[in-house]
Amino acid sequence: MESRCCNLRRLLSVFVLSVIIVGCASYNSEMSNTQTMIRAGNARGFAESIKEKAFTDGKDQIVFLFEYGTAMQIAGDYEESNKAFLLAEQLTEIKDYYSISNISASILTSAEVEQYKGEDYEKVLINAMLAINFLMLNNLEAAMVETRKLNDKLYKYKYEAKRPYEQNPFAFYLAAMIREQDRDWDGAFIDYRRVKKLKPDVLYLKADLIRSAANARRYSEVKKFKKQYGFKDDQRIPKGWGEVVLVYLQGWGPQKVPNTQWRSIPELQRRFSYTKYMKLKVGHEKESMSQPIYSVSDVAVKTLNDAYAGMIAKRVAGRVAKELVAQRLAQENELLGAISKIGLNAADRADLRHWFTLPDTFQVARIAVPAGEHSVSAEGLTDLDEGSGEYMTPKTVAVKPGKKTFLLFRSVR
Amino acid sequence: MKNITLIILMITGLSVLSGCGPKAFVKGDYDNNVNDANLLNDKWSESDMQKVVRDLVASATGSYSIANAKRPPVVMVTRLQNKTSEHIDTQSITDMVRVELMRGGRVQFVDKAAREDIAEEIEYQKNNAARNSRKEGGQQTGADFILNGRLDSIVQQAGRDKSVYYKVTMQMTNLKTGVMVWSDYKQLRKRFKKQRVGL
Repeated sequence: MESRCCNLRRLLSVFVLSVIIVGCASYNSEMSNTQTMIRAGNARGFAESIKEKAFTDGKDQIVFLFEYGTAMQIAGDYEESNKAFLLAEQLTEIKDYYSISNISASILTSAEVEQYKGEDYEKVLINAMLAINFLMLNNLEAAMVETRKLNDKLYKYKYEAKRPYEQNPFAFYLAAMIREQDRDWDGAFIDYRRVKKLKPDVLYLKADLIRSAANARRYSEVKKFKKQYGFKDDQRIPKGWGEVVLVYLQGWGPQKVPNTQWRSIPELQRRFSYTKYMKLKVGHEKESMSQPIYSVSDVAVKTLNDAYAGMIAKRVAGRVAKELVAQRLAQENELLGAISKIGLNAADRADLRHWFTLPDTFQVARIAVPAGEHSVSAEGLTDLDEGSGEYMTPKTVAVKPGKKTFLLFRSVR
Repeated sequence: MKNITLIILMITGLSVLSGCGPKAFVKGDYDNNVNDANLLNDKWSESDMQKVVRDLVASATGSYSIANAKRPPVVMVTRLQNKTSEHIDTQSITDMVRVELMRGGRVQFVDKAAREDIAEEIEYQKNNAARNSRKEGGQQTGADFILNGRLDSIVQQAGRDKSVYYKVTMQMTNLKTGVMVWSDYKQLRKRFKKQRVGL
């Protein structure tokens, strides 16, 4: 009688445990309407729907903060977006340790049980997003703080001999532009040079390198790059002129789905976007095509490919552990063993958490113009250079001499 | 074997339940000594601010221009530039410097931030205040010195170890001559160890 009661209790605990795991609202189910809501122009509505989860302690809090921050950025509420990104950054630092209980639990159940800590490339992009937000809020000092934080992180990754693709050319490019704005010419040149090493095909780079080297009085570098690129002058922006800079976040990054071969590990699915580039126009004469500087999809795919070995090992260990538990319980009661096996395997799901609302690529378009007021517009283009139907609302912006006027646009179709 | 199975189940259950449940700070207490060191994390803290301000104010009041002034010089605080990789409210630092200098009674300040309000009030009083209490424009005292500076940091991280170095440099410049009459800096270095494994 006592043994039957004990077995029943165990059966109940295994059942409850499995129900909790399967029933714990998955992050993916929360994200199902994201794209539809944002495409319909309701980014704020989506943000509000996940606000509670973003600001409540939990294993998925960091990833909800990523989504909340991005949605608020798309809605143009940069202050609110910053609140989320700053908290997300703080949490990625606090949670950056190996939790024995979480790892043990994830082996026996699902990787989703573990605290989400963010991929390294996501952690770097938090600071890039914050820097963009601060630029939009016209807080150059805070934007500079973010670029320094970003540098510290990238330096740490380099020191820890992480993979080279963890380095982020967009972050360096953004930092270089902010340094130019802050008249830190030498710092700007160093950052442009870093971009050249990581992404040499950015068209603006040729002029950027020569101009920043000239401003930093690095004359040997000016000579070298002029010769290399066939330029005759220093590419300086004329006195009394400034720049319009469009920071363009294009499309949607890839989405994690269950692997077709083995459903308890994820794979990445690229998401299609009609709009691939933006043509920035200032007045009726000046226009420039945006230049892709960083591909989230490429980096995410490489990151996941490198993580597969560890993920598979963990899931194999999980299978063995589940078998052991089920066998042990089956020795006492066959039905209990069978049910626990079903329960534990049902809980074994692929961890599909990732920064879902990230764009596919980070791009920049820039045009030098005389200081004064200018009407600015931007048109989305497809791969075939045809209009995609997405436009940045035309606006009049003030350009100050020697300064940059930053604009932000996110395409979602 | 039986024990291992139970332990695995217990760990799993606990971590699943803790993952879904809310966590919040629920018990509070007043720390009566706000000057005690507070190094809860690797960020700029009020202890850093107190240390820096105490030393810089002592240095400034001991400087020739303040110590030997016939009347308390009038100073205007402009800006402490934040050149660190942290969001630090540098106005809070300059506010503390101003208050500590005023407490010493050797320096007076003009309030740059209040200028707009003062101008508006003077304009208002011109038509609305009684003659005997009315304040006229053009009577304000001009500053003798401006006080400004910058806050720099160097962060180094290797494995579990992290060091954060701060340097706060402040200077006072004579508005009439443009001569810098006082400048000093205060350095701080803090070391931290990161937890790699936990429950």
